[in-house]
Amino acid sequence: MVGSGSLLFPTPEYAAFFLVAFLGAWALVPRPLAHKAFLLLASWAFYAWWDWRFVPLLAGVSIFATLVAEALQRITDARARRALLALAVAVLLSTLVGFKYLTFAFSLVAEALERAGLQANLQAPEAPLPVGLSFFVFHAISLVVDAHRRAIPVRVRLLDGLLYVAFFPQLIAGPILRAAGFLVQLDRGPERSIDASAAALLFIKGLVKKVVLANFLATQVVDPVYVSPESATALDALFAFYGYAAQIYCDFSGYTDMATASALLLGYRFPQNFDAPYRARSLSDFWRRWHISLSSWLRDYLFIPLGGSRGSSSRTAFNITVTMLLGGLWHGAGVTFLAWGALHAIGLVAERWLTSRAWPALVRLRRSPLAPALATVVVFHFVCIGWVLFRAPSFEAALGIFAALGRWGPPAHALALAVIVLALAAQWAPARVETGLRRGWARLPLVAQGLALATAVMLIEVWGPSGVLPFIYFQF
Amino acid sequence: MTAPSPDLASALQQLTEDPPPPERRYRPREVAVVLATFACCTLLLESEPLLAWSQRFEANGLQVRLHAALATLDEGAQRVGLTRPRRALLGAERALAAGLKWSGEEQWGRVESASAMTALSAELGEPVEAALPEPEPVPVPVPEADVGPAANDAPPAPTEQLGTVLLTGDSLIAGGLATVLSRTLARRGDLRVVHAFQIGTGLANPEVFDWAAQLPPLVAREDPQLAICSLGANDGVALKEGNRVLAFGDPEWRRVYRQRVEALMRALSANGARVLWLGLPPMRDGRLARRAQVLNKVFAEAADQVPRVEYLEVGMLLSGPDGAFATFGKQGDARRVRLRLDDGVHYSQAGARAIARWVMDWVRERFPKRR
Repeated sequence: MVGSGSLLFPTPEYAAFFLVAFLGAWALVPRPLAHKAFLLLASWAFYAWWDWRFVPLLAGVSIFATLVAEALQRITDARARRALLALAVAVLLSTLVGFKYLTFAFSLVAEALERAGLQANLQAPEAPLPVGLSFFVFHAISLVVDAHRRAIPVRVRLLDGLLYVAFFPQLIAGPILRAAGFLVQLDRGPERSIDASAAALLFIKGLVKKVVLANFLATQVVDPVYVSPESATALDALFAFYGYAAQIYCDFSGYTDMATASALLLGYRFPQNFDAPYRARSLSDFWRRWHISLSSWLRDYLFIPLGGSRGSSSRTAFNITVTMLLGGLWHGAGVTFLAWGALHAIGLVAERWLTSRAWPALVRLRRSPLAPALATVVVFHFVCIGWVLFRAPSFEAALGIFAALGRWGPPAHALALAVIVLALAAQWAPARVETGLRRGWARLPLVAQGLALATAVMLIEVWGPSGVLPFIYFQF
Repeated sequence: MTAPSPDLASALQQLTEDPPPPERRYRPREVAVVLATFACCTLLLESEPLLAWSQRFEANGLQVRLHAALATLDEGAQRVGLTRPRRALLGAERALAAGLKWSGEEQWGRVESASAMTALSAELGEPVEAALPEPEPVPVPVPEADVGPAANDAPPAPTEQLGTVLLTGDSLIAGGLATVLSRTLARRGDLRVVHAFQIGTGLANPEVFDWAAQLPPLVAREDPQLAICSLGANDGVALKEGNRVLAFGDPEWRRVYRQRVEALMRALSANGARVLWLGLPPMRDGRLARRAQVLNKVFAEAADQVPRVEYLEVGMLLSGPDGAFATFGKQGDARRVRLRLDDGVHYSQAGARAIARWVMDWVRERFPKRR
C-alpha cells in the first residue's frame, strides 16, 4: 500500500534530508547545544515525515523518561528510587500496550468469552500504530533502568535524553542503543575524524541487501507463496522457505547497515546488530548473532532481572520462556508471533538440557569432526521453521506452506535459487574481503569516492525493482 | 538467551572505546566533498528516474518547482550524453533477463484447474462444502444501489455458460480471497480459474506495472466468461498524465483515472465476459479510508458506463454498523470473527469468505447451472 509519506533510507527524499542534516550538524559542532538541538529537530522532522500526529507522543515519552532518569540520578533513597523506577516502567509499558496490544488482547478476551457461551458485544478499539513505537519505548526504558542502576557515567541532560530516544538513524527500526553507552557519546560530542570509508561501504552493502536482494526475494519468491500457499508447488514452497530466511536477514541487516552508516557520518557509533547469524552453531549462539541490540536488551532488562540462569534448571527454563514469549510479542501483536517465541523458547530449553547430558552417543557426536557443520545445518533449519510462523499471517497459512512442501510440481526458476544461495552464502565471506575493500576505497581520491558511490547507487537503482517496498520491521 | 551475565560496565567500555586502528580517517570537510560529488553525479546520471520520482508527489508549488528543475537537468544531461550509462545498464539487465528466460512474473496468468483445487481442499482437510454453507442458488440479496444499474446488465441469457474465470487485481484479491473464490467456484464442476495478480500495483503508476498493456493479451489468450477484479488500493496517489501531475481527487484526476478504469473494464469484457469489480473495503487508516471512498466512487461511475460490468460495494459486507472499519465483525451464525488482517487493509480468511459468499450468489444468479 502506498500510505502516508515515509522517509525510507533508500529514497531520494532521505538523501536530500541527510545532506541537510549532515551539513547543519557539522556546521554547529563548535556549539554543542546548538548541534544537539539541531539534530533533535531534524529527528523530529524525520518522524513527522512518517506521521506528524505522533510527534507529541515521541516527545512526551522521551521527556518523561529523561526527567525520571534525571531524578533517579539525584535521589539517594533506595526505596524512593525503586518506586519511581516501577512507576516509570509501568507508564512506558502501558503506552506500548495501549497502542499495540489492546486490539489483540480484546480479540483474545472476546474469543474466550464466546467459547464460554457468553455473548460478548465488545467493540475493538481501532487505533493506528505509531511507527517505531516499540523501538522508542525500549530506548526510554533503557534510559530509566540504566539511570536506576547508576550505569550512566555522565549527568543526564534533557537535550541528551531527548536526542538519545529520537536520534533519526535508529528511530524507525533500530538498532536499539543503550542509554549508558550512547549518552556518553552525546556528552563527548561527535567524533571529528570520520570513518567514511567504512560508512560508504556499509551504505552500499545495505542498499544491495535491501533494494536488490530482499526486494527480489520478497516480490518474486516469498510473497506469492505466502499470499496463496494453496496454489504453490513443493519447489515454490521450498524456495519461499529458504528465501524468506535470506530476505528477512537482507532486509533487516541491510537497514541496520544504512542506519549505522548514517550515524557514522554524523560522528556517532552504533553497536553491531548482526554477526553472520546463520553461521550459528547453537540456538543461543544464534541469539547472540541475530538482532543483537534487541536480544541483549531482553537479556539485560528482562532475562537477568528475572533471575537469569543462576537458579534451578526449571527456574531458568521459566525465565527463558517468559523472555522469548515477550520477545515474540514485541515483534507483533498476534498469536503467530507468540508461537514463534514459544518455538524458540522450547528450542533453547531443549538445547540447554541436551548440552548437559553425557550420553555416550551424544558425546561421540559432539566430538565428531562433522559436528560443527551438522549443528549449523540443524540450527539454520530450526530458525527457518520459526520464520514460517513469523511470516505467515495466520496458522492456517503457516500450515499451508508446510502442506505445499509435499506437493510436487514444475520446478521454479533457477535464478531464484541463485539469489537465495548468494544472499545466504555472503555470511561466510572471510573478513579480509571487507578489509581489503575498505583499504582500496580509502586509496581513492575524494572526488573518485563520490563518483564511485554514485555509480554504485546507479547500478543498485537499475537492478532493484521499480517500487520500493516498505521494510518489514517498521510495523513492530 | 543463555549468554554469560553481561557486565554493563564492560559493554559501556566496548561502546566508548576507540575502535581498532583505522586505515584512514576523514575530516567532516573531506566527507562533505565526497557527498557533494556523489550528489552532483547522481543528479546527472540518474536524472531520468529522479524526474519520474518527482512526478509521484502531490502537486503543489514545491513539487512543480522541483519537477521543473529536474526536467531542465534531465534535458541537459541527455544533451551531454550523461543518461547513456544508465540506459546501457538497463539494456544489459533486460538482455540478461531474456537470456535467463526470467519473466519476473511467475504468478501472472497462472491457470488453476478447478479439479486440482478440489483435490487440494481435500488434502488440506477442509471440505470444499465447508467454505460455503448455502447449497442452493439464492437470489442476490443486494440493493440496487450497490450494483451498477440493471440497465447495463442484460438479463442473463439462458445459454450463458461458465468455462473459464479470471481472477485479477492486486494483493487484496491475491491474498485469501482468490483461494476462497477458487475453491468455491470449484464446486460448480470443471472450471478453469486463471489467477493474474500483481501485488503492490495499480492504475496510477503504469511504470511499476502496465495493466493497460498486460491485460488484453491475457484476456485474449484465456477467453474468460467471467472476470473478477479487485484493483486500486495502491492508487490513492497523484497521477502523471503527459507532462502534468494531477493531485489526487481533483476533478481532472478523477477524469483521467476514470478513463483508465473504464479502459481496463473494457479490456476485461473484450471477449464478452461479465466483469465483477470489487470495491475497496473500509480502511483503518483515516487518510487511506477517505481515499478509498473517492476511488470507490470512480469505480462505481465507471462500471455504470461499461456494459456487462458490475460494481460491488465491499464495505457493506465487512464494516461495522456505522460503515466504519472493523477488525472483527459478526457473521451469519452470530459468532464474532476476525474479518481483517492486522495491517488494517487486507482480508482475513473469514473476511474473504464473507465476500466470496456474496460473490457466489451473484455468480449463481448470472450463470445459472444447466439442469
